[in-house]
Amino acid sequence: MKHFEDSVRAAVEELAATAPPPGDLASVARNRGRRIRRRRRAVAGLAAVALVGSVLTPYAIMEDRRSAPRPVPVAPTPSPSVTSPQPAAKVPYVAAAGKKWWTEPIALPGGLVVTAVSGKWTSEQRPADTLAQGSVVLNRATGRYQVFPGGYTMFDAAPAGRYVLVQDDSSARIGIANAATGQVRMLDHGSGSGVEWSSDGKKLLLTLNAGGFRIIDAATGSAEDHTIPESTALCPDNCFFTWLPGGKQVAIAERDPAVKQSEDREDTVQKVVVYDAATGARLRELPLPGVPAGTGAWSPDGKHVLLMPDATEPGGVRITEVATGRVLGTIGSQQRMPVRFVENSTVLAVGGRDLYLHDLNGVLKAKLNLPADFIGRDISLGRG
Amino acid sequence: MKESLEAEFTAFVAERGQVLLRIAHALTGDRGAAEDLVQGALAKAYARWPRISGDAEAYVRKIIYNDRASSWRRPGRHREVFVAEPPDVAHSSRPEHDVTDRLAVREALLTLPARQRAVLVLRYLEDRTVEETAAVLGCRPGTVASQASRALAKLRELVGDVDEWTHSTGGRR
Repeated sequence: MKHFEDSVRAAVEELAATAPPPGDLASVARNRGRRIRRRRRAVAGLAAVALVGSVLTPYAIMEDRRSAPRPVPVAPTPSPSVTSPQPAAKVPYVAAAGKKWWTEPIALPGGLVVTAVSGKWTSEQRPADTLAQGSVVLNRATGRYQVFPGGYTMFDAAPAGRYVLVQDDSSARIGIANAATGQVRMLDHGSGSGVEWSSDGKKLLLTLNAGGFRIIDAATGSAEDHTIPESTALCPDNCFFTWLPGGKQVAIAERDPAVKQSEDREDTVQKVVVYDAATGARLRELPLPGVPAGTGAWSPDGKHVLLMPDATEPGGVRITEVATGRVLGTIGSQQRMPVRFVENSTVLAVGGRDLYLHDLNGVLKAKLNLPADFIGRDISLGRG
Repeated sequence: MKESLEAEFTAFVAERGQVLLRIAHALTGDRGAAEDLVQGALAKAYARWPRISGDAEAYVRKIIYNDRASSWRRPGRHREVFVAEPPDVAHSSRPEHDVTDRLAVREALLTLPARQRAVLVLRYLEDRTVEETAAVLGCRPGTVASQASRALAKLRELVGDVDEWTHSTGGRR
């Protein structure tokens, strides 16, 4: 027995000894790390929201649960021309919740509610399990927000239902928490290149490091892999699948192979490729010049998509026509991110605790404040 | 990131990069995949550096091991494992048999599911205890033991029972 283990040990050491030299690991990692930060700002938290095919309620008929003033209606004003966003200072802020925000669902435009808020991590310590710092989830049975203990580094509630995607700080593994029972099922792997909730909150879409995707059933934790090495062979810097409206197809961007890659700048995206979520079959290509900024970045009717800033447009999020790739408008970087559609003609951008609503041309229509407790935390939205 | 933290990150990578690459190469058996795995883990660490800088190496190691999501449920590649003709008679212990053994085991290692390989790398390359291995992989010690047992059994199956060769020759220990 011992001899065989010696052989195994020697073989493992030999494999390790033939590792490549470090090269310039630090600068490469730094650039990728910065992109992770940007992507986190772009899609984290709100990536969970995908109200595909739902009929969304305009501001004006939202149930008024609080005494706080409500946001003004947003009138969709589609236009084919590219328009600069309206200066934020000209649109007044409206409080989205009262001081005791945890006592009732925080309702937002389009029939959305805040379903969860992640813990507030600092460099010094993990967050305390309190409403002001910890992972907090909406208990749909009571209509109140409650602390979900555990100190998770990721706490991303599904857009519907009871499940929350979590990541354990001690092992870097992901798991699925049940907000109704408090139980957590940890999976035996990490987050790959990204994880996205389906619009019904029943499935997770994980981008495999080796190419392809994994569909995880939230209720059972069972998974099905579709290994497609070619799907990520031309991956741009931000390499992750998103669900398309309808939940039957998934898509991932491909960079332009004719453009030389550089760590100093973002890749140039040539197209977005659509795959069958059930079979992994390649279905079609979309002429989109950027990376979709998450599942929520697709409009519910599938006609528009929000593209992340990149080499083509470093200044902001592009609101793009899916069929043609035509850019209708840009949400400037001053509006910050993440971004998502709340209905077919309204885009929601998040900057800290501030929410910005834009039309399809990127014109700012309304601004809301979330509670101060939300500063430095990721927000999940879902159906009310 | 503040300049001091940037410098701290750069120094960390310069000091520990090769060690991390060794682990990644033992896990993947592929230079490009190893570089990508380490770069991805370091990038994630960079993105959260202010918070994890105090224990960065442990954090990066955990990501390297646990972010191997791409292959943890996939069966290993069923590559042919070439070994010398199994001896049907006892033979003297020769250095080339050591090389043959290791090459065969090395090839067989790369066919294991990534989780089993991770257990072996932690146990045999990093000399971690079962408990420490469990902590890194976020599982129970019993799971580590069973994974290690299955991995060794599979390796024996793939390369033949090397011990038999050794015992019959009174070979190396």
